Amino acid sequence: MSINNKLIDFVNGELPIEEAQVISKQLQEDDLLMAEFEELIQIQEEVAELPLLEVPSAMDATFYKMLSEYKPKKETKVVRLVPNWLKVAAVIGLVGIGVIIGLQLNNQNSQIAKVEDSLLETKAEMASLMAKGLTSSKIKAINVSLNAPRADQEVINILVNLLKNDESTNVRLNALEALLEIATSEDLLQKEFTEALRYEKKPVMQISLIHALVQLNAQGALPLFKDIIEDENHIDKVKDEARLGQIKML
Amino acid sequence: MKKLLLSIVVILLSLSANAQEHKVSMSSGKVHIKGVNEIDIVGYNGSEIIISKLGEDGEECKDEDDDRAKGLREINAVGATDNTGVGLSATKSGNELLLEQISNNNDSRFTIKVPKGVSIFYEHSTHNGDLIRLKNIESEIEIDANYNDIEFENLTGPIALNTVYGDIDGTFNKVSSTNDVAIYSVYGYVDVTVPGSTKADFRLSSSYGQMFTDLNLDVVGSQRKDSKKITGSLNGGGIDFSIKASYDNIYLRKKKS
Repeated sequence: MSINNKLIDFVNGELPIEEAQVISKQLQEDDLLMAEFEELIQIQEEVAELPLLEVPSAMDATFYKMLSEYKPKKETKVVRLVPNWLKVAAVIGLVGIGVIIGLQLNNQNSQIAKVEDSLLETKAEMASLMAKGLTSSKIKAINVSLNAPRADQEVINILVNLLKNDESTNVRLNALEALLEIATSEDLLQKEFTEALRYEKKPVMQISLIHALVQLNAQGALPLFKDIIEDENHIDKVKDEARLGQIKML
Repeated sequence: MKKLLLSIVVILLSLSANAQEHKVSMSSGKVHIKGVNEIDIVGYNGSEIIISKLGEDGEECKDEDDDRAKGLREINAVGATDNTGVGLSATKSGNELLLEQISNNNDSRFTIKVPKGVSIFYEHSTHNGDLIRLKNIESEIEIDANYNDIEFENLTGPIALNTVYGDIDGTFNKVSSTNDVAIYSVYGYVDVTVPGSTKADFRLSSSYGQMFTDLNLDVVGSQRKDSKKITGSLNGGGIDFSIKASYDNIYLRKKKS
């Protein structure tokens, strides 16, 4: 107990005799403690002099009436029952949500696994067809790529390779159509189509590539269109398509 | 009456005797036909490529076009020589036979009979390109042309045809259940007839033309009305069957039985 608390008890006469003697001795030796003691005495005297307020009898009666009507048990029951029900519901809800999330995650994982399996099958079938080396089998491989469950970079790379390097015009044509169908990156298409057009010699492919680049609004291909128009080695129809492309992309 | 019959027999024998024909033994592999302006390619059950020359009117030639050329061989600037006697150069390399027309100015129509196990690749780039007719071919056929019109009938092998300026017109007596078809003309129309029982997934595309059919295609997706592409299956789908005509119309017909 601090000296201040002991001083309050000393003023109130509530300290044991031994401790009261010690405090009395300290008061004689310590002026600050004596000043505190005197201040406490003064506060106590002032409080004792305050008049007592009488509670009106009506208020008193109302208070006791309210007290008699107070039913703590009922209120306690309500307060306790609601949280219990909520707790049960919450637990059931949480378990349910957990199960649903679990099922959905499981379902999603299962679907992802199916997509990946299907993609692997597509790639395997494409590889098998490409290995035959025939024009028709390569076109079939391209058609198989159209059934891929999602745009896969490896599949797109195969199609780009066919577009730019296969000796068969029909294979290149079909690869171009497939890329327009399945590739999602327009930047990639614009870049690869522009590069393919730069080296393409067959009019049917040149025209198809120009159409595709115009469809993609490939502004980066415009300088190449200009070169084609000025190049005497290109047939008139290809030049016409390049001119038309310039106008459409203005 | 007897005189008439005799005359007919004599004429037929005469035609047969003068028919210009060249044969190359071949029952598998590929025949590559390059720069032949006008041609009939016909599949048959045999083991030889048979090359014959027809006149401008489509009849077999009775005489040489140029009497002065008798006993001489036609040559051209790339060193090819008429080694078939019909105006074509035939060069066999491995499993491939290359047939080239010696002169662009030769207006003859050639007929190439091809055994059913031999695949066919035809290419032509100059404005001399004329009508190509294809008939009864079961093997793979690929055409890469600029000016040629293409007509076909009764093809069952894998087909990939493209021409820049030509029209494409053909009828399938039956469509294979395994071999895909890809047909494309840039400036010409494409008119194709298939049996109603065909199982195929069709992809039709025309940027500036219209598309017509009397088949009950099950059109896939929610494409816009003004879309330039139509994807639709017939009889539940099957082979991939693509038709594209950039600047002209597509006609897809049901074969009348």
